[in-house]
Amino acid sequence: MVQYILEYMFSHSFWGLCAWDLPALIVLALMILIFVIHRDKMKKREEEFEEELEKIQGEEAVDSI
Amino acid sequence: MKNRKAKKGLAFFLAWMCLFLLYGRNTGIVYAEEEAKTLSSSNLEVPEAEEDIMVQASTDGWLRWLGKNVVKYIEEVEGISGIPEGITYPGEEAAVFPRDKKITILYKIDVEGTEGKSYTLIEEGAFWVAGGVAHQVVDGKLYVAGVVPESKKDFVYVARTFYNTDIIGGRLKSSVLIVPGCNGMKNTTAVRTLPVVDPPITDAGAVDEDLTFQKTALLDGTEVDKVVIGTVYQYRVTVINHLSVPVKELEVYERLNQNYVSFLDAEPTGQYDVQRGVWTIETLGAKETATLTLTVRADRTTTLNQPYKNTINAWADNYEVPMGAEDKAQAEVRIVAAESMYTVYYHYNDKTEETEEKIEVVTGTGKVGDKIPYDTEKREYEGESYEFVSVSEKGKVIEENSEENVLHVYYVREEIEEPEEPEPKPEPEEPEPEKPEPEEPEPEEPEPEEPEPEEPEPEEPEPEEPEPEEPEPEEPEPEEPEPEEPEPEEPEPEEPEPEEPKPEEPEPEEPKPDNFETPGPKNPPRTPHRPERPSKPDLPELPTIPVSVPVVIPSLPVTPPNTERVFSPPVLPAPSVPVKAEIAEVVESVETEVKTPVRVSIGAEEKIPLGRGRHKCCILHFFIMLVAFITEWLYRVNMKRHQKRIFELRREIEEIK
Repeated sequence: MVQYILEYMFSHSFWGLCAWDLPALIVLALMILIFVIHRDKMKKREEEFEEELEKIQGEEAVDSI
Repeated sequence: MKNRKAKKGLAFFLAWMCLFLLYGRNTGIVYAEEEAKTLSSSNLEVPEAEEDIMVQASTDGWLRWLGKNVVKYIEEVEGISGIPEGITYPGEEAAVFPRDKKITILYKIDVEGTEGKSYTLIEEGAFWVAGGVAHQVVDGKLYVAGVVPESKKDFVYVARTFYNTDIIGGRLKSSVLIVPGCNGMKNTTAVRTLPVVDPPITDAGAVDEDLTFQKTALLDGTEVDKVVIGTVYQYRVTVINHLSVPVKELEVYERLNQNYVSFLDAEPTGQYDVQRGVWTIETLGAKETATLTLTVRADRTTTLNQPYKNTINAWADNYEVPMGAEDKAQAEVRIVAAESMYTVYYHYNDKTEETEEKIEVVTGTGKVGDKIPYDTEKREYEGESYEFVSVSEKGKVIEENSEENVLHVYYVREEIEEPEEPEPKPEPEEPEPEKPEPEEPEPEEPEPEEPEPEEPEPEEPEPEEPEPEEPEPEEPEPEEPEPEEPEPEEPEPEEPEPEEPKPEEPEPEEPKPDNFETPGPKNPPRTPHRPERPSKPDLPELPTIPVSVPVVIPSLPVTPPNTERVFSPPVLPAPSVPVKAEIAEVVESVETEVKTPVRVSIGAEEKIPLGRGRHKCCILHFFIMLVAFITEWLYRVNMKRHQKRIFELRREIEEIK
């Protein structure tokens, strides 16, 4: 059964451009864009917190000295 | 850094798009070839348009123009190699169609549309000449796959051979179907018709000196013009060349009408083509004669006014046979239904009991289905004049079984007058009560059994059960299946019953000779009644009806031997062997069909809406969406990881604070 379904799928489909490809590409591009932007933002935020933590840890070390 | 990353990403994206576009275009060509293969195994039919649609443009999709034109001059196809020989270029006027021969026309198909788009052209009966990417012929249909080039115009040359049977309304019609490559575009058809004319008739007056034809229908060597249905007879066609030169490739058109006759054999063998109905003689020498004998079987009756005519025409390669009257020969054969014997009894009676009835028997043959003929004017018999009274079964039709084709015609003497009529009336009434009398006492026993055939099984146990169990007569009604049990018990007590009706059987046989007038001399002298005489043979049959009732009951014990016959071993094993062989063949054929999944999938696609368009679908956007979903999943995973890290950092900061 699965074999016939796959045969049907591959015999009735091909690689090429059609009207649905453009919106699909736009969706993909948006997804990648959002992903990249959010990833950068999160990285930035993470770096800020790390800097803040290092700063606090440095101040504590100075106090202890 | 950011600019570098952005530039890298943009370059990667553009490269990917370029590769993708290139790949998509290349796969379009591959698709066109595959599409031709796929379509070739489907049942796509080229529509037969009635109107002459020379060009038709598609309103949607990439196809803008589809045209089909006849190549009128050979100059139009210069620069194209592989043009086959024998093409007819009709010019501006109608094409001259050689009588009873074939003609090959070259067509140019124009496809105009978006560059890079693939298509498939389908044309029935045509063969490829030039153009397209791939082509093949399957089941008489030509499939040409192509791709629209940069010039946005593509040309495909195809040729088609027409026979005289293809001429419809003086025109040759040819249509081409285009199946666009993708996205469910509608199929488009272009039709081109070409008027044809017959060649001019020449030399019509010299027919007698050239070729002559003879055709006769023969049955057992004797010429016939009427045969009975089912008869095997022959047609003998003779061609005589009166010329002083041999005639080459002589084609005699002797098409049998399969509605009336079935072809069985042709002699000499190998010269007659049954499908085309053409008898081909390679060379008929000067002053020579050729004979063809066709053996056929009459299958269907013809009407009287329209006998089965079969005309032959001929055409020779180096000699144009004129269409005069003499070059046609036809044999008329009337196919009639089978005949059967019939017998008419003419009864001549006096109106007195003293004289015996005189019977004249007349036999004859007639066609099955016709009425039995009889004469109402046979008034004189043995020197005495009679008057016609009636016919037993007026309008009775002749049947195949000659024993049933019996008719009785009654005459009475004119001299005898009516007052003697009341006397014979009681006579026929007497035998009527006499016959039931001996039967009445006998049916007394089967009388309670008479209703049994109507409700046989449930009522039979009732007379047995009430004796031991009287209060339970109502139970058998709800318990219907129970009567099946007493059935095997019943035949045993009923065995003597069939012996009883046996003596009854000869009894109904006794009145039969009285009913049928065949033993005329045995009949007592009877005077006929004018209107009642024909109904008289029916009356004695009435008492036979109650006799037949007890006969039904003894048939019950007779059924077991019939069922035993079903299990008779010598009958069944013999056919079982070929039956198994047939089943095995069927199973094999089914297996072979299952082993071809392409056929199965194509049959299934007709039920699938997307498959109705006979096109393949682009699945790229599905994969793009799949990548998009994977990206979203990665995004979620990444975000979670970052959020977790940020949460931990904030927690540490708060703890330190």
